[in-house]
Amino acid sequence: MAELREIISTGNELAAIASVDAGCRFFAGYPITPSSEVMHVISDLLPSVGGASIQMEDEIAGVAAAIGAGMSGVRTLTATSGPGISLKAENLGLAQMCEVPLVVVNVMRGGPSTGLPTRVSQGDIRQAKNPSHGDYRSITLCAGSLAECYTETVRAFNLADRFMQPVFVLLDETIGHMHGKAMIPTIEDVKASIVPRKKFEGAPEDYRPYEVELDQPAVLNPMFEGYRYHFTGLHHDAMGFPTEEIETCRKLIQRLEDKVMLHTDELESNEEYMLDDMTGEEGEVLIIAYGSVALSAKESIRHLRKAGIKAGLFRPITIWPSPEKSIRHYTDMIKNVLCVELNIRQYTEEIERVSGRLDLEGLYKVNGRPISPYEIVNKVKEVF
Amino acid sequence: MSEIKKIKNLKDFSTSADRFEGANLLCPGCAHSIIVREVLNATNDDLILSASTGCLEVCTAVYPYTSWDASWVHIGFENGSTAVAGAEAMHKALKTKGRLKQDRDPKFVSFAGDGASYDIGFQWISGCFERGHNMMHVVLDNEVYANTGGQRSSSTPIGSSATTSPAGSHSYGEKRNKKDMIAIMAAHGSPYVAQVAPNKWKNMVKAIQQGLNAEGPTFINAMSACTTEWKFAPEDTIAISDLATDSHIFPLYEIIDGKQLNITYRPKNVLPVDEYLAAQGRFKHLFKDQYKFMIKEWQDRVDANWEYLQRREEAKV
Repeated sequence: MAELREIISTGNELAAIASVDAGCRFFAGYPITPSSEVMHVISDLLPSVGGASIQMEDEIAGVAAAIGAGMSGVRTLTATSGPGISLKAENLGLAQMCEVPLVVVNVMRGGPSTGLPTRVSQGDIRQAKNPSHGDYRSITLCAGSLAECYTETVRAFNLADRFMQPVFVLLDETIGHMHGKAMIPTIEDVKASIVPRKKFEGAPEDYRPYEVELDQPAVLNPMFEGYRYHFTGLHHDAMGFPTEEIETCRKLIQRLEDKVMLHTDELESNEEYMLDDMTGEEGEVLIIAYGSVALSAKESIRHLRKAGIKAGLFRPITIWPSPEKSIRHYTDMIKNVLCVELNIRQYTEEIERVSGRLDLEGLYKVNGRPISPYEIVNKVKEVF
Repeated sequence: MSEIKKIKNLKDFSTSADRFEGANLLCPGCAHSIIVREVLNATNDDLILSASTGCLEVCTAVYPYTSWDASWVHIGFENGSTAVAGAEAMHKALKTKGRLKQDRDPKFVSFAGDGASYDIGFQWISGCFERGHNMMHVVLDNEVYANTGGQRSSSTPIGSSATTSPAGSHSYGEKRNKKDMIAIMAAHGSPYVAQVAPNKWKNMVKAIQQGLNAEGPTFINAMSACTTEWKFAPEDTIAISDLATDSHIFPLYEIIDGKQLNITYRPKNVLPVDEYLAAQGRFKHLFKDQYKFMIKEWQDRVDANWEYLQRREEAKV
């Protein structure tokens, strides 16, 4: 068991601290509730480690500056909420196309539009999958505890550099503003876990950033080291120059798909809570939830077990790509499935797709209030 | 020519509000409501209003209540001006085609904070002014993102401590000077651009009326002292505004047709900048030995700006 350190903090603060610990040295963003504290904390921390934090003039500029810094080779963060992602969408597509690593913390609030700025929601699950047009695969992690606000942010930076693309860390207003004790890895362990992005070591004239294996990401060397760049959102060739050549275009987009989907084993991360004694017998209940809702779900499971109902929680931490095998395993085994979300069926539809089942029960809430354990208990008793 | 209210004294003014109610959730001492009331009082015409995301929008339309007795839209953070421009363009088209049942021409006004005007809404306002919509954009300039926790904006003055430009042992706070929006908007060739402050209420009403009656896009930058983020006692809003206008820190002037600049208020006794700075928590650190040099810089900059305004006025270009 690795050594842990104790910290009393909030989810938003932990995401900011984790970023700096994971080697992030650039932040650009714009004030937006309920994620502003990420910017407050990081604008305080970055200057002392030689980094830069810029408050931009709007959300679009926030992600654009972060992409610029990401291109230059530095670990980069931007933080926002759903309306901010809506504005950033075009540039997030550019980062997918140019393969620029970047971590985007999204502290979810009620939507659509301005929605419920100060209240909780998980309404950005679908948005995180496809914020921008075109074919690409989003990588999205969803923190379900204070500690995970830290650990998942660290993991996001490593995944961004491994897959060379934006990685979302979804918090929600409840987790982001929750204040309490968290047990997080030591700085030494975090530093030891850092896997920097790949670098081309040859001569500048041989540098071909997009000439890689068909299931691998581009290799972008840091800027200011003598290598030539040509970044474009157009379809591009091995050098990054625009092209309409049929095979090159096909291979590029297929590679964006395959670099993620052929390596989902490196991405998958789930929590299985009280599922080890499940055997598939009549009456067992599987609850599927993620983010702050999972905290209520765990509490409800303890109540249900006391009442003699054998319930357990499956919680995906990597939301996109979804953990297909694990979902299928549990939904094949357990008949009674309840999906609990702070939106209307956004992830349930994915579970239906993966499991092939259309008889899943759901508990959904979209009024900006958290779901209490008792609501889950009552729902289980009502439908099963 | 629209009918304009005749308001002679403060008593008239205080009892004249009928389209913006005092019942709202703005902080005690917030200058926003004073400014909005002055704008709405400046005309008897129908009003089409927008409020961009910000303190004004959040605090004056909390379900199931509203402070507004006028057509009012809240739209995205950045494009309140554009929504009003769309309504204005549609009104113009319907009028041209003779499809309007009534003959009254409404006034089109967008309200936005400095964040929604100087930063995120900048290109949208610029677009409205370039296209020449018959509308007025009013900035409630409190020099900070007050609604989201006091982050700096490009209106935040140098040396001010904000949550994203905090003052401390290594920094005196905001590093850059306030963006000159008046000059930028005047450069669009706007028929009327003015800077106003609620403590000079007669001056303000006059400017607003002139703006509303001008043909084309007009711009009002209204100082809105923020008790919460500037850190002063709620009862001092007007006193702080007096310090700002009497020290030339917030000069009141207008620019007509992008050219003729007129200074509309000249303090009889000009105060040094120290008094204004010392009265607010956001500048408290400037009085420490380490940052005292900033006060001299402030004074020099304010003096230079006043000199510039006077010369522009004399030059009549």
